[in-house]
Amino acid sequence: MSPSQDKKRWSLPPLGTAAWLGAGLLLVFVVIGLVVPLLLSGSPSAQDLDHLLEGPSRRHWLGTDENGCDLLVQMCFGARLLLGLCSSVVGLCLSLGLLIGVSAGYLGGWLDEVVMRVIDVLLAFPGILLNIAIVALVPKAGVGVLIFALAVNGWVGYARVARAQVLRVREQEYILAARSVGCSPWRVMLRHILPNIWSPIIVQATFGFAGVVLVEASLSFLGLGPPVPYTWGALLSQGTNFFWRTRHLILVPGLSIALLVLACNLLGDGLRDYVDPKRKRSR
Amino acid sequence: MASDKLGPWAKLRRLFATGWSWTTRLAEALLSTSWRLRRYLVRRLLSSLVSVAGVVALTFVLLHLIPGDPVDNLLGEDARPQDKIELRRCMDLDQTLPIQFGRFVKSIFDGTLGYSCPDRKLTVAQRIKKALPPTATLAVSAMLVALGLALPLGIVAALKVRSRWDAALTAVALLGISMPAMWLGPMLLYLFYVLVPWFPGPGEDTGSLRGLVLPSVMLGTHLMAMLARMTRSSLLDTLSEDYVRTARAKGLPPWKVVLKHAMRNALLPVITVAGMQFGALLAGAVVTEKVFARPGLGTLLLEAIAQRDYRVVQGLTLVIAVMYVLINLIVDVLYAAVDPRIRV
Repeated sequence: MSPSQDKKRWSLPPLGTAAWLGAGLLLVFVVIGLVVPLLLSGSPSAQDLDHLLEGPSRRHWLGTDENGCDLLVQMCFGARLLLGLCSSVVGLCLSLGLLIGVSAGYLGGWLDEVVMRVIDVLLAFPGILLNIAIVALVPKAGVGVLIFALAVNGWVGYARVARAQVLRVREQEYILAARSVGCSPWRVMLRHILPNIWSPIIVQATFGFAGVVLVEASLSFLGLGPPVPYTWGALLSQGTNFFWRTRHLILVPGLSIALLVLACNLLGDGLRDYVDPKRKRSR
Repeated sequence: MASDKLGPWAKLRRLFATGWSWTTRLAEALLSTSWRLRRYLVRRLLSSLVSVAGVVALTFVLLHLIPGDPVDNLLGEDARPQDKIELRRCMDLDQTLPIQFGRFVKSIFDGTLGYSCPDRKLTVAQRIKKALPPTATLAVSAMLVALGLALPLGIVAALKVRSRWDAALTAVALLGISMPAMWLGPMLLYLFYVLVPWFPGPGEDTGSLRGLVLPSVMLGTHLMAMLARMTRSSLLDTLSEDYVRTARAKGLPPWKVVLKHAMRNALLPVITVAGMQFGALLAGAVVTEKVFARPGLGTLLLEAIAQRDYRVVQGLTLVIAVMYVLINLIVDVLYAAVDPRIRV
């Protein structure tokens, strides 16, 4: 499929209101994360010592935290950090998972066997346990370590979906045709298989993004996140410590995390129904 | 009830008898079945063993992936050389890697999981054993909350599909899945401890049943939403099966059709997922225990992290992962015993 053909047929896919709502919400967060920090004059660590732990006011639209830092500025910088981190993790996991899953599924044999065993072992660590263990063992873990820790078992989901999809299309005529005219395995995988297995993987990535946001927020909440005080999870943790004195410090970061995850889930649901209409009918 | 008049011993004996009869029934089912099931079970057992071996290797590697010297990390660069040597010996770091791995495996088999260094007072296993019951209680009660809410909600939504109830459940499930637990917990505390003091706050009354309510809700909500969605779609699938139509045609009352015929099969995938997610509850308890200042595995993990007690982090990771593998194995075996289709 050439790009020009693609462009001619391009129109908004019929995703449904909820999914568009999610996409719009996601866009708002991206704008908050990418554009707003450039416009703001303040720094997330600038302290206003006369206004500690105060609710929203004209001076500080979302109030201040225990150190007198403006919550709005912190949230925006936190959004930039969170989005950057989560996109890197999802991008890394997506590429790794595709590479591993597609080659395991297509080449089969011992490679497939080894990959499946490794996946089994990684899946044996439930939830955020492995992520916590890695971040905790590394002294002064930075953003790089965090991305590594999240990617270590993050690729597994993509690899499984990719492998299952490859097994589905592997024996179809167009793949056999490509092989019989002498395409190399890599060419078959890149030019013939990959374009045909994209859609469920995009859906997976949308849900995966929500998952990474939750895990990152949990790690920051536990004090194991990026070494800055303005991650959403860290702000929420601060809010939890002061929840009997002020509410805005739980409400703002918590609601933001929830909305971001909700946006991804809405978009993911819509995309899934669009990609796999059979599923929608049975629902 | 007659059981009220029984003494504690009689009750216990009866409980034991019931448990025994179930065990024998299960064993009978497993032994009397075809060689295919047995082959499946053996394969499943072997793959679990491979997973456990991989988990052991990975937790060992984990400790050795740390950049820099763990002794320097623990004591600081300018500690006394004597202390450094002492600690190095305690952590086996003066040995070659194969010997270190051998000692690690040995510490697993003798059930100690090694000692915390530098003070060799308690074994890691003893500390984990002490922290396990509160977390297990929390995880089980979160599971009960999740299943107890998810099943009725899912059933109602599936029976009244495309109604207002269904839409409400879909919305609730979506919110539950998107709700970060570390936000839900503090909000619950604010609502039911600060505004309306119905339940104890963080760190208070952690052993009581009342103190268990809010943490269980916090831990169980995500799973509840997932399971409610699954129950709904699974029940919808079974409701369109021929045998359900037959049951209806026989004139059975609707509740009997749903609960006795449809739900039996619809439950299988739900139970499987619930079993698989139990391990996630154990891991999720870290955040819950922090919010509610409860003792348990999560608190132990965070303590160990703060003190850079590598052995405890390693041991906890290992124990939870192995528990998770075992739970999955048990769920799969039960599934195979219950569902004849697996045996084919």
